[in-house]
Amino acid sequence: MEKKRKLNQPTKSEPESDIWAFLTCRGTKSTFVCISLFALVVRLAVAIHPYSGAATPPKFGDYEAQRHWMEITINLPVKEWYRNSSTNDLSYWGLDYPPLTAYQSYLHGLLLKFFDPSSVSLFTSRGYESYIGKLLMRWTVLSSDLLIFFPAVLYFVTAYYSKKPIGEKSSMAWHIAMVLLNPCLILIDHGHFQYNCISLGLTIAAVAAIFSDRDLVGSVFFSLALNHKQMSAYYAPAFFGYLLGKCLRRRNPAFEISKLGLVVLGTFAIVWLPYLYSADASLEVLSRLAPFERGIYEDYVANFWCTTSILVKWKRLFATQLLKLLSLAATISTFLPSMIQLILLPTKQSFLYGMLNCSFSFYLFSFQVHEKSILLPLLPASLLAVEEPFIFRWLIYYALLSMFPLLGRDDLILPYIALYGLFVLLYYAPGRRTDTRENNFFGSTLQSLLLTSSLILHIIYMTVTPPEKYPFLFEAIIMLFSFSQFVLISIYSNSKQCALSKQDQVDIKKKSL
Amino acid sequence: MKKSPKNNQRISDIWWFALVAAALKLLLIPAYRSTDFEVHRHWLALTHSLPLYHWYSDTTSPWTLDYPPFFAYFEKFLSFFASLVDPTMTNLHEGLNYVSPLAILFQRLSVIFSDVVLIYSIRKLSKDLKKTEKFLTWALIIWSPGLFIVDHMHFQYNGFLLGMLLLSLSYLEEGRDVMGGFVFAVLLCFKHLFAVAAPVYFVYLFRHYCNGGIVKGFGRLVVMGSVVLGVFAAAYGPFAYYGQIQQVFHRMFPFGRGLCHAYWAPNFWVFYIILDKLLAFLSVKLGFNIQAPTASFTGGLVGDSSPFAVLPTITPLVTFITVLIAITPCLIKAWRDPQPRMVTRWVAYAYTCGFLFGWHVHEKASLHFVIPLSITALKSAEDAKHYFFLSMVSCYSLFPLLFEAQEYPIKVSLLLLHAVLMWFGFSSHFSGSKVGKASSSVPEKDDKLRSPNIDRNAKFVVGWCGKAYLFGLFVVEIWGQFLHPLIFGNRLPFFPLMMISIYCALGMTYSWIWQLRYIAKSR
Repeated sequence: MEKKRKLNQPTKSEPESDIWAFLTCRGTKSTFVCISLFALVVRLAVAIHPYSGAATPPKFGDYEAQRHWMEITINLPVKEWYRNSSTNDLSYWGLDYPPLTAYQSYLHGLLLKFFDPSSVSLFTSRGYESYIGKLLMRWTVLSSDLLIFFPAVLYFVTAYYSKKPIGEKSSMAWHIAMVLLNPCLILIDHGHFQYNCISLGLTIAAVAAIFSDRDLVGSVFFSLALNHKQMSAYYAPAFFGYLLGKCLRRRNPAFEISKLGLVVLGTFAIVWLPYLYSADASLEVLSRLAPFERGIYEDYVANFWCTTSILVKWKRLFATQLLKLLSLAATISTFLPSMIQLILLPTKQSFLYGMLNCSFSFYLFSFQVHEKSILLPLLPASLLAVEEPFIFRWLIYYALLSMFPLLGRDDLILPYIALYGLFVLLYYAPGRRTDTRENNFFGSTLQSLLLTSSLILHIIYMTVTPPEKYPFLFEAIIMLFSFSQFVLISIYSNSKQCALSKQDQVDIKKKSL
Repeated sequence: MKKSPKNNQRISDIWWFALVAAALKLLLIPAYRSTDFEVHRHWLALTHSLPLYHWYSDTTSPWTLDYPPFFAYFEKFLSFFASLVDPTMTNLHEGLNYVSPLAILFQRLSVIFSDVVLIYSIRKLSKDLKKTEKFLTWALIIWSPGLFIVDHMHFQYNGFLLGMLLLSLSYLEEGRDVMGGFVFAVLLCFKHLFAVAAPVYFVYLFRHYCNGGIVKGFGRLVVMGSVVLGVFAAAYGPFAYYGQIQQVFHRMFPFGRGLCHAYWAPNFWVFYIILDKLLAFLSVKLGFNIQAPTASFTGGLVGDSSPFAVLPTITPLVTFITVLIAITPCLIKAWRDPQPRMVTRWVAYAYTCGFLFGWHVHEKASLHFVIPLSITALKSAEDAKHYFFLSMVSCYSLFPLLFEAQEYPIKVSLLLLHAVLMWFGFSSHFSGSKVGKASSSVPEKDDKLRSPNIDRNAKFVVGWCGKAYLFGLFVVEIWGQFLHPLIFGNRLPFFPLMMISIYCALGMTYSWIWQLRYIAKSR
C-alpha cells in the first residue's frame, strides 16, 4: 500500500513516462493527500518500534522527559513549571524548552490524563511505561505532525509552485515526498521520540508565508517556532537578514522594520505572558533555556568542537566562559557572509540557501549542539530538494550516519535501514526528473568510495567490539566522516548562495538598463 | 522497464514497487502477530526435528501440521536456515511458544522474501500491458492492504501462494496449458484450500488443451494427467511409502470444525444464521417451544452439535454441493468456449463461490479472488468499479484480524490509502472523454496502442448506491469502535463483529452476482 511515491516526472522527450499523472493531474491537494497518507502509514509503522530509553531506569530517555513535562505541567501552576521546588525537581528532566513546548505538554498531558490518568500523576508516574501509555504518547506526536507539519508543507508547496511555470510543477509530487518522508525527521520524532515536527512545521509555515510575501505572518510563525524550541534560532540570521533586506528596499524602511519588530515582540509577549510579571520570573525561565553547564559538546556530535577535540582538548584547555565566546565568535563569523548577502539582496531562492548556511554554521560551531540538531540544516535542504537533489541525498545519508550510534542505542536499526531504503527508492522513483549534475559532481569514484566505507562502518559498528583503550573509536570515526561531509556541503552551499547573489545582481542591472 | 529510454534507470520498475512495499514490511516487523506465527514456528520445529513419517502424526502442540506436503517441505527448507539463526526456534519441545527478536525477524523475513514469487508472476502477467496500466496493476497487487494485513501483520504466507496461482493463470492466458496445470497442481500440494477452482481448471484444460480429435485429445489428456499425477506423487509419495497417507488426509481435512469460523467470514451462511435467529425469536414470541441451541455462534465456539434452532442443519456435504452448483454456470461457459482471456475471471469466480458457500471459511480467503481480479480491474470501467468496491469490502472484512489498538490506525490508513490510489488511478484511466472530441486530439495516438476491446470512453463513477454502501462501512466501523462501547459497555461484545460480517456479506454477495452476470453475459 503505500504508495505514493510519486515522483516526478517526465522528461519532454517521453511524455508516456509520466506514470504519476493520475496523482498529479488533479492538482496540489489531491497529490498531497495521497502522499501524506503514505507518509502517515510510514510514521505509524515506525511508531511501533521502541522509543529512546525504553525500560532503562533510572533516567530513561527523551520519551520520559516529554512524559515528565506533561506530568509537571498538568499538576503544577504555570509559575512553578520552570522553578526548582519540592514538587518539581529540575535535575530530573526539568523543562528546558521555551513556554510553547510547555503549553504543548500541557495540552497533551490533558489528553493522557483523560485516557490513562496514572501515566501523568505527580511523582508516582516517573518512569511510567505501558502499552496504552506508549500508544497515547505516540499519537500525540502523530497528531502534532498531522496538524502542524503536514499543513505547513502543503502551504509551502502551494506558495513555492504558485509562480513556477507548469513544466516545473511536475516535480511537485516528488518534492512533497522528499519533505514528508525525510527519514531523519521520522526516526527522531516517531522512533526516538521528540516533537521536532512542531517547531520545524512552524518554520516551514514561516518560509511559506515569506514565499507568498506575507512577511508579517511569516514572522509570527517563526517567533512561534523559536518559542517551541530555542534551536530554531539557527535560522534566525537568515530570517533577520532576509526581512531586514526587504524592509530596507521599501519606501519607508523604519516603518516596515518597526511593524515587523512589533509583531515579533507581540508574539513573544503573548507566549511569555505568564512569566512577564517580574524580571526574575522571566530570567528564571531564560536561564533554563541555555544549559551552559553541560559543556561545549556532548557525546559524539559531528561538529567542529567535538571533532577537533581529538586534537585539541577544548574542555580541558579553556574555561567555559572563554569557550562560550569562542563558539559565539566562530558561529557569527561563519553565518555572517550568508546573512549579509541576504540583507543586500533578499531573494527567495537565496533565502533558502541562507537558511541552510546559517543553520549549518550553528550546527558546526555553536555551543552545546546535539546530534539531533542536524535536523535543522536538513529542513532547508529538503525544501531545496528540487534545486539541489544531489546535495539533499548526500546530506540525508551523512545526517543519518551521524545519528546512527544514537539510533542504535534506541534499538532503531531496523527502521533506520527501512527508512533509508525507502528514501533512496523515492529519490529514484520511476519517471523522476534526472539531474545531470549528479554524475560529475565531486567525482563519482570518491563518492562511491565514501559510501562503501561508511556502509562497512555501519556493519563494523554493530558487530565489532571496540578496543578497550578506545571504547568510542567507532563513534569517533563516524563523527569524522559526517563532519567532513557536512563541511563540504556547507562550503558548497555558501558558494552557491554567493553565485546566486552575483547572478541576481547581474539580472537586476540588466533590467534597470 | 524495457521501454524506458533512460539508461540511468537503476531499478527495474516492478522491483521498485516491490522494494517500496518491502521497506514498509520491514517497518511492520514488530507489529502484532496472531497465533499463526506460533503455528508456523512450530511447523519449522516439527519438520526440522522429526522424520518425515512423524510429521502428520505428532501431537506436541495443538497446532498440528494441516497443510499439504509441499508446504511441509517448504517449512523444512526454511527450518534449515532457521536452525542456523536461532536453534531454539526449531527445537520441538523447548521451542514451544518461543519468541525472540531473531525468531521474529527470521519468520517475518521469510514471508517478505517468499513474496518474490508473487512479484515474478505479476511481472509475467502484466508484460503486455501499457505502462500506466502496468503501474496501476502492480500498485493494486503489490501494495494491496489485504496482503499487508494478513501476511505481514497477522502472519501467513498468502503472497507466495497467490503468486503461484497468478503464475498458473499467466501460463493459461499465454496458452501454455501444461505449465498452467503443472503450477496449479503444485499449488494444490502447498495449500489444498485452492482446490475450489479445480473444477474450473479441469473443465478448461479438458476442453482447451485436450482437443483436436480423439487420438490427439486422448494423448494430451494422458500428458496432462501424468503431469498432475507426477506432482501429486512427488508430494504424497513419501507419505504413502510410510503408510501415512490416511493420517495426512485426516489432518488436512478436519471436519470437526464448524460451519463458521470464530469470527464469521462475510459469506452466505451469515444470512442463514441470522434468519434462523430471527425465526427462532419469532417462534418464541408466537408461543412455540424452541429448543435453544447448546453451542452459540455468537460466542465463537462452534462444535459438532447443530447450532440452528429452526432451520435445517448445514453439513459439509450441503456446502460442498452448494459450491458446486454455484460454480456450474462458469463450468458450462468454460465447456462451451474455453477462452484463455476468460480464465482468470472463471477462477476468481470459483473462489468467490467457495468463499460465499464454503464450509468453515476464513475471512482471509477473500484474497483468493480479490488478488486475481486485480488483473482484470483495468479492462473496463465496469470492472474498475466492481473492483474498487470489492477490494474495499474485502479489506474491511479483514479488519477484525488486527484487534489491538496499536495496529488500528495502521489498518485504517492502509485502507484509505488504497482507496485513494484506486480512486485516482481508475478515474484518470477511465476519464470518460467524449468519443467525438477525443478522437480528434491527443488520445488518438494512445488508442492505437491499446488493445481494441478496452473501452476508454466509459467513465469510472461509483454510483450513489455504491457510495451509500461504502459510507455504510464507515458507519459500521464508527458504531463498532466508538458508539457500541459507549452505549453498551462490555455487553454484547459479539455485536460489532456480527455487524461487520453481515454488512460485508452484503457486499460480497453483490460481487458474486456481478461476476456471475458478467460471466453469463460474456461471449
